[in-house]
Amino acid sequence: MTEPLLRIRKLQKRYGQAIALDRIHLDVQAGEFLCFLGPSGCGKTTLLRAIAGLDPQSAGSIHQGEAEISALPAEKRGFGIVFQSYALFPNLTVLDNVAYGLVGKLPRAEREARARELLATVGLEGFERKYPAQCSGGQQQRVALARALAPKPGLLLLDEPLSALDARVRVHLRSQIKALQAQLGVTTIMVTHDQEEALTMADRIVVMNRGEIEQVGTPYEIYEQPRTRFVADFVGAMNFLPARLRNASLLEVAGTLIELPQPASLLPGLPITAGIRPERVRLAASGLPATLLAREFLGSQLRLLARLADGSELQLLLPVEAAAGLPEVGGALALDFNPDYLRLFPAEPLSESATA
Amino acid sequence: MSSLALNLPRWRPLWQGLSDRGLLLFALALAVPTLLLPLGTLVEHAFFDDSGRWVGFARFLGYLADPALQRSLRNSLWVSTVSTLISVTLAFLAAYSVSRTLLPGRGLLRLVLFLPLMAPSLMPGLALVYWFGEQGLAKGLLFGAELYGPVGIVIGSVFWTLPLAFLILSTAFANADGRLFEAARVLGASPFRVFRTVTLPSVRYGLIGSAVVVFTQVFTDFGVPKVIGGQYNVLPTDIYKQVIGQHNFGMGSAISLVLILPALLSFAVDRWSASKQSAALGARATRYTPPPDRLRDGLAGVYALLLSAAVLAVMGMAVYASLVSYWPYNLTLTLDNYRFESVPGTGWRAFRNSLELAFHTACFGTVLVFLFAYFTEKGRKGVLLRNAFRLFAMLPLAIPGLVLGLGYVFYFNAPGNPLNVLYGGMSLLVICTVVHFYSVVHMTAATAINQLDREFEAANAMLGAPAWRLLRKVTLPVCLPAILDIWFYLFVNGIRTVSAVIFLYATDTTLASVASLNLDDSGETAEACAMAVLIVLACLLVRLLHWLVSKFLLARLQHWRHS
Repeated sequence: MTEPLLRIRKLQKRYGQAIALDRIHLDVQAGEFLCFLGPSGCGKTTLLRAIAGLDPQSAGSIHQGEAEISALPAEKRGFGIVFQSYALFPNLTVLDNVAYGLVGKLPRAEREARARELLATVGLEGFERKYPAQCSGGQQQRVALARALAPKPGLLLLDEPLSALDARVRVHLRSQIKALQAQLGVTTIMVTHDQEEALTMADRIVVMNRGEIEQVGTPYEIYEQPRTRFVADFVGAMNFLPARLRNASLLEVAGTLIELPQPASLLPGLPITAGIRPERVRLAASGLPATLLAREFLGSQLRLLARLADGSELQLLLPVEAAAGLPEVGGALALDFNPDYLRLFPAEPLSESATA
Repeated sequence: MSSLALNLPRWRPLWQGLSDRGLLLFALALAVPTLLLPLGTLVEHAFFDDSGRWVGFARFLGYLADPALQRSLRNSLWVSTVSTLISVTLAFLAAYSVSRTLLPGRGLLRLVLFLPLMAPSLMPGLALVYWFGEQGLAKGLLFGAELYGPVGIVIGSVFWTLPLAFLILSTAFANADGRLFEAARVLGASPFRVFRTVTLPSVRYGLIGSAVVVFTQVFTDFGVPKVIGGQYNVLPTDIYKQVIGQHNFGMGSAISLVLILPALLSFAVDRWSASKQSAALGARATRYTPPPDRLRDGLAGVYALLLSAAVLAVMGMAVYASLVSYWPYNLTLTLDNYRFESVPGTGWRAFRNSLELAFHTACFGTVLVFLFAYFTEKGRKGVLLRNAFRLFAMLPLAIPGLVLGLGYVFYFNAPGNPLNVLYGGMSLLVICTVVHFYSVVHMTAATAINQLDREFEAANAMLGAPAWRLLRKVTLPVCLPAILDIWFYLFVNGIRTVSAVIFLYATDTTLASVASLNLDDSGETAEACAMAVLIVLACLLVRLLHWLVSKFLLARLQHWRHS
C-alpha cells in the first residue's frame, strides 16, 4: 500500500468534561473520496474541523506525509473547505469570491483567469459579475466549491455540502461533485448524515457514532458486512430478530433452526440478534412461517410487513411481480433467505461487534 | 509531544495570539478606570463620611427623614409616571398610524418625530416658556395652570421621550407576524377583536419596553426640570443642588444610588422582554400589509397632523425665540442672540468645544465599539472574558448620566489619583461620553456582526488569507451601514448630552448644551434658545451628511444587498 496522504492517530477532542471525539485512527489515501457518515452529534464535523485546523484536537496527532501538522493553524495547512452554509462573502462578486484565496499569491490577471477557469469547470460561466444573493442554492454551492478549489488545496473538505439544497438539485450535484473530484484527482473528505449520499459518492466510508469510528470500508463492505448493529441499522434498512445459537454453526430464529455457512464467534446459548436486509428475504414454498400484516406498493417495489411465530416482525422488499401470489392481509406466508446474508450481533446493541 | 506543541504555537506572530484574549483583556482593563472605579467611588461616598468613616445607611435614613427630599422623590415618581403614560400612548398611536394604516405620507410623520432626538433635552423646556410662560403666546391654553412645575416638566419630558417610545413601538409593530392577521380575518374576527387579540399582544413587549425606557429617562433627566421645574424639585435637580450648590457630595451620591434603582429595574425588564421577544417571531413570519380602510386612515391622518404640528410648534418656537430681539416687546428678527454677548468668550467657543467633543466621541467610540463588539462576538477563546465584557458593555445602560458624571468627579478629581490630570480636559469628556452611550451602540455593532455568517473567519483562514483581509474586504464593508449609524448616534448624543458632563467641564471646555443651561439660568433665555438651535442645526447637518453618505457611498458598496 502506498504512503497515506493523512495519518490520524489517537485523536481526541474534549469540550470541558464532554468527549466529542475519541480513539480516532484513520489513514486518508491520496486521491480518494472519503465520507464521514453518522447521525448528528456523532463527531463527524468535529473531526473534519480538527483536520482543517479550525478546532484543534485536544490530544493525538495528524501527519501529512512525513510532516506533523497537529498544531499548524488552518491558514497554513493549504486545505480547502466548503461549509454547510457556504459562507460566501455577500458583498463580493462570484468572481471575487473564487479569486479570494489567490490574492497575494498570483497577479491579478492570473487570479481572474484561474477563477474563470474554475467557474467554467463547475458550470458557472457567465456568473462572474453576479453576487451570491443572485444565485440559487445549487449555484452558490458550486461557487463555494470553486472558491475552495481555486488555491489548489492538498485536501478538499466538504461539510454537509448538499444538505441545504432540495432533493432534485442534491441528486444532480452529487454526481457532478463526484465527477469533478475524479477529474481533478483531489483528495476529498465529505461529512454527511445521508447514507445514500455516502454510498453513491464515496470510495470509502467512515461510519461514526458517539465520537468514535464504528467501521471503515468501501460502500459495499459497509452495506453488506456491517460490523456492528449500529452500522447495520444506520446504513440501509435491516430487520433485527431475536435469536440464539444452539452451537457455533446452528442458529435458532423464531423456533426454526438455520445452518450457518461459517461458525459464529458469539457464545452459544445466550440471546443474540440476527440481522437480515429486507431485500434478502424471499417468499418460499417452505421456510419460516409468518403472517402477512401489511403490504405497501412503492412503485418499483413491494414492501411487506410480516410477523414470525415468536411475535417479532420483519420487512420484505420484493419485486412488484411477487404481488400476484400473495395472500390477503392476515394470511400465512413462508419466508426464506440465504444464511450468507445473515449478520449476527450481540443482543446488547452497542457493545463490541462480532460477525457470523 | 503534539499536545505540547499545541500549547506553544510558536510560529504564530505575537499579535495573532494576542488578538483574541489580549484585546478582550485590554477592553476589560479600560472599563476599570472608566466605569467600575468611578461607580465604586460613588458608592464609597454614599456609605462613608468625608474622613473615611463607615456611616452605613445613615445617609439614606437621613435622606428619607428629610421632608424636602421626600417630596422630591414623590415628585420624581409622579412626573415620571404621568409622562410615561402620555408619551407611550401618543407614541403607540403614532407607531400604529405609520405601520398599520395606508395613510399617504406617513413617512413624513416618522421624520418629524425624530426631530426631538436632535435637540438637547432642555430645548422643549425653553420653547414651552415662550408658549405658555408668564409672557407666553398661548398662556390661555393652560387655563390658569402654572407652567413652571409638574405641568411643564411633563410636557417637556413627553416631547423629548416621544421619539424613543415611537422607535421601540414601531419596531414592535414592524415585527408582527402578518399571517396572524390573515388567520384572524379568515376566522371572521371584527376589527376591534383583531386589535385586542392580535395587535395588542404582538406589541406587548414593545409597550413594556417603551414604558420602562421613558420612565427611566424622565426619572433621571436633568435638563427639562432644571429649565422649567421652578420650585418643583425632583431627584436629578436635587443631586445638582447638593453637589454644585452645597458641596454635599455624600448626600449627592446617596441620592444618585436612589436614582439608579428604576434604571436597574428597567434594565432587568428590558433584558427579560428582549429574551421573550426573540422567541415571539418565527423565521416563517410574513410581512403584514393592512387592507384599505378610509375611516381608520382618516383618523390617523388627523392625528398625524396634530402630532406633527405640536412637535414642529415646539421646535419652531425655539428657533423663532432665538431670532427675536426682545420678547415680547420687540419682535423684530435679529441674529444678535447668536453673538452670545452676555457671557463674552464662551458662546461660540462652547459650541466649538461641543463639536469637538461630539466628533471625537463619534470617531473614537465607533472604532472601539466595533473592535470590542467584534472580539466579544467572534472570538473563540476566552468564553469567560467575553461574557465578562458583555456584562460590562451593558452596565452603562443602567447608569444615569448624572450618576456617571458624579462618579467621574469623585474618581478623577481625587488628589491621589495620577489620572486626575485628565480632570477638566476634553479627553475626559470624550471618555465619559463614550462610556455613557456605550451600551446601545455595542448592541447595534453586535447585532450587525452576528448577522455575518459564522464561518467567514474559518473560510478566510482556510483560503490562506490573513485576518485583516477579511476585515477590510468583507466585515467592514458589510457592516458599513451599522458603523455609520453608530457614528451618527454617538455624534448626536455627544453634542446634546448635558447630564454626564455637567460636573466635568472646566472654563476652557464649556459645552454648548451646558452653556445653554447656564444662559437660561442667568435669564438669557433667547441666547439659551440660540445655543440649543445651534446644536439642532449641527445635528441636522450631520444627519444630512449621514444620509448622503448612506445614499451614495453605500449605493456603490452595498448594491449586492438590493440586487
